[in-house]
Amino acid sequence: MSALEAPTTAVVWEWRATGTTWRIYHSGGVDSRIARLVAAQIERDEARWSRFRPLSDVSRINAGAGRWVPVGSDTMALLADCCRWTAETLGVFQPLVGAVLEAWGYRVGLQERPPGTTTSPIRNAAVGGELLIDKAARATMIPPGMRLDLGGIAKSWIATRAAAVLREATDDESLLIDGGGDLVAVRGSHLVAVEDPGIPGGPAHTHVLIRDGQGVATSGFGRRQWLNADHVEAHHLIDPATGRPGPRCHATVVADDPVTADVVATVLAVRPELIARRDEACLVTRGDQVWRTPAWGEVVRS
Amino acid sequence: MTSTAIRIYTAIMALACGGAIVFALQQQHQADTWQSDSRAWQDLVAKSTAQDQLNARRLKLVIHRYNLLVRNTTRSQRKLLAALQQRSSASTSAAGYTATRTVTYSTGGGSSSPAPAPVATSSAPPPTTKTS
Repeated sequence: MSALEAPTTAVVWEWRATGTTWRIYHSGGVDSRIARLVAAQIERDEARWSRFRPLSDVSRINAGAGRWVPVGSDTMALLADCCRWTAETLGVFQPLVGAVLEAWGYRVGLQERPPGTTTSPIRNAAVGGELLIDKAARATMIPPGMRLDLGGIAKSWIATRAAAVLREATDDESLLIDGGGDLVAVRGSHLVAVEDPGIPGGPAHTHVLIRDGQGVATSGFGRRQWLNADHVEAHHLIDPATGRPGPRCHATVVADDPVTADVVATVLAVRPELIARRDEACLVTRGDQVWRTPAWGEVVRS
Repeated sequence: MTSTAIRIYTAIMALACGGAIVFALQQQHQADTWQSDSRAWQDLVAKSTAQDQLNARRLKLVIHRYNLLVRNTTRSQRKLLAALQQRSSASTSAAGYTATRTVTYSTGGGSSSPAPAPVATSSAPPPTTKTS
């Protein structure tokens, strides 16, 4: 391992946001003022894009389903990105799964709504509909009965914006933001452990190297799964084609853009067979089965 | 006709006349009742008609006020969006970059609580990617 690849951080800033733990790894150039600046940026974004906040843009859009709802320019850009990814993944990335997700029992949050209290939907119901955006009027509309859920993209968007704030605020040569398992190499190269999906919190499955501006994200059923009252196992990754939780997969993706890593990881966790179409460094596991892209070999370090 | 027969005939006729008078009085009473009911219904219809006309006038007023509200709201929204666009473009050009632009506005989604303060820790785990 070269000095460049070694984690150089002695002190880490840590706080809770977006329902997970955020950390800033650095080599001494991030003081409490800068850390608070980044935390404030993340809090502002969470206040707009969380479906668990009643006054967020997402909650307002859901409350106004079937009508045009005005939103800010940042939310408009995020929603435009959602539309782009929905088109690029042929609908596998679908931000309108919110209502189906709630029907399966993931209504508020695993803390607020204990799992096992819901009867699973009997019939398959593909999640269709289209997220409409009017850039000129800065307004958006979702079909009636649908609910927006930015769970597959919002955190990486927030992390990317936080990374931009951090990059502007300090000259530290080794900066890494960790948004609860989705990481952004703000500056420098960083060795990141890949958790073994079978042993959450256990020893690393392997390590990957991410460089300036790159992101790494993992998606899977592991931490957000529950048993419904009818003894049907459910998790939060819904396959839009069936309206049911996808296969029990985990996907880790390293990409030049943190949002790409996040979205592709979500897509591959729902449709692992799509790994054949990806150029990014991807690793998908389903039980004992493992799939990798050729680029995965270039980033893995152990 | 004997005197006895005349008495019996007179008694029967008296009874018949008495019955006819009682029947007539009852019919008269019933007619009065019906007339009273009829007047009450006529009053009710007149009052209902008047109330209906009043409601129609009030409804027209409410519709007028609602239309006014919609027009004013639409006008305000247009002004707001124009102001936001102006402010957004001004802040972007003033900052000179877009990557770190701050929130220009939030329609109700603004953070009402301060961000949690990060704490320094030397016991954080190594950077790890995982499901969250």
